[in-house]
Amino acid sequence: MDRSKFFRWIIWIITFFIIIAGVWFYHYILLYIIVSSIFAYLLFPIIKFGDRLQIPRPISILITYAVIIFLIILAINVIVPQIRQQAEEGAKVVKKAQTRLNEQKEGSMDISTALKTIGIEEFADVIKDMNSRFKFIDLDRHLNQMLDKFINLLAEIPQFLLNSISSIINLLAFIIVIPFISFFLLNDERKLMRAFFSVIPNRYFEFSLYLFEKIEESFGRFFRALLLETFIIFILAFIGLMILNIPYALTLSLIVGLTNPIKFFGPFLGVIPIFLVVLLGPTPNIYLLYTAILILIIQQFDSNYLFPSLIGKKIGMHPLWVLLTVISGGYAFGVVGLIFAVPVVFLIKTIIQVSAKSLKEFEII
Amino acid sequence: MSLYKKIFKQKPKTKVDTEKELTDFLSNVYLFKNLSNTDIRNLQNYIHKREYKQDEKIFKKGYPNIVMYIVKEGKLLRYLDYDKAKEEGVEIEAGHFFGVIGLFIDEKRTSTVIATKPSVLLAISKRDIKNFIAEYPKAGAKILYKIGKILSNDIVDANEQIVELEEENINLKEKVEDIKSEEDNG
Repeated sequence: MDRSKFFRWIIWIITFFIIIAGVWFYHYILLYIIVSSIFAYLLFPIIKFGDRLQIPRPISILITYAVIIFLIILAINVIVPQIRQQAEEGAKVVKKAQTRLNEQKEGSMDISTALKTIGIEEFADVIKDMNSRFKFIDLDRHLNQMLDKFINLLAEIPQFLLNSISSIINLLAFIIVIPFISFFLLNDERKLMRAFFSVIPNRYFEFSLYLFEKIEESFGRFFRALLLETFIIFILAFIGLMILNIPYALTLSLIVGLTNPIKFFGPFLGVIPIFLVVLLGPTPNIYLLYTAILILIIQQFDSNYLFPSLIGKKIGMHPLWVLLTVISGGYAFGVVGLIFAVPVVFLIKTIIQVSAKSLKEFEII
Repeated sequence: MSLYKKIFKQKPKTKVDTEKELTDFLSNVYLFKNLSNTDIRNLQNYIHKREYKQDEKIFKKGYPNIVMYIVKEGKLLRYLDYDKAKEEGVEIEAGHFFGVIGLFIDEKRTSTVIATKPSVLLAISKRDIKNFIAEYPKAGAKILYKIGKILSNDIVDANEQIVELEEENINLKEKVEDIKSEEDNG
């Protein structure tokens, strides 16, 4: 190895460590940057439209912000009271079930009567039947233990909400800072791009432009598709639940829509509240089957037609890989990991694929 | 210490031209001559200014064709087959542009371009031009019309060359025939 090559390697290594140190130093605000970039990215088509109408960028950004704030206020005033009412009613049902169960516990320990009290009569009959047939299992005791755990879990909900107040405040700060960063990203988007590409050496200029465009293309397509997908699933679930006349259709379909991006587990998570409402509410229990079929149909439509047509192609990851990615994401980052693991892995996969291809095309490797 | 120089010695600064100067230059480029000043300023947002040293390669035949260039300063040579023979390149001078075919078809680069003097190029990516045309359709139509005109002229020139070459070819064939028949007779 000759000297200049050796020194070049040393400079590369030093640069690498400086970048790592920089990322470490700024990692608290990294999330801010990422989220505001995504936010800016989603607003970008609107700002572009403003450009076409010859509206100066700062003004079109401010108009867009004003519209968004208006929509949020509208949502708070129209949708939230409805959701809250539904949630309160739901909570009442749960509370009633809880108190009844507590009363029941002090008296007899018969699980089937307990279930009857919270309105799951058919299920109670099944258990009674099973109890009489398989006496040796001592179903009562097991179910009672489960019930105890369930009651404890219910009791913990208010405490959990209290604990999250500090994180809610953090979230508020986050929400206030994001539009500021996004404003500058949107306003100076071109300047930032030109500044970024101006430091790239000539040899890599075309390559980096090519790479950037390719990645941005798949990134944008993916995120817009995800957003649209969530919205369409929400609407479909809402229509379906309205037809089936399930109570709290709005809240429930919102949950179905929001859990939908979680691959594999999302639909199951989304269907649990529906089942609870059907079980605990006045709806006949046969509707469990109907809602299950409804969700199944929506899922099939989503994975076979909607998602592929929105994103332009299949995700190209083996189902097993997707499954393992979701599980790992959940372990590493909780709910956020569940939602974003597959998109992030998909994006990294795309970046690697595109880079490898274009590095070869530009004869860099 | 050459390494020390490499890192710490500042490059002699080339003249940093202002945005205004760029606007003036662009409005004199044939391609953008009938655009309004607002259009040109909008277009400027999409332009990357690149500086090339003498003998530096801009791109090579076979690379993806995603950027078109306008020559602001300097001189370049275009080679259709750079690696093979010592062909004479076609000169590209200030005010000219190259790499425009990529805007319309997904061809790879059909030639290699090398700077023969220190050059300043203005680069616009294919996607950005498409964006610009979508955003400002009027200005876009003007640019596309100009490009069409230039490419049409190129086709007319190429046709004339083909006719000339064909005539030459026929003449050569006749000569070959003549020589052959002379040989047969002789």
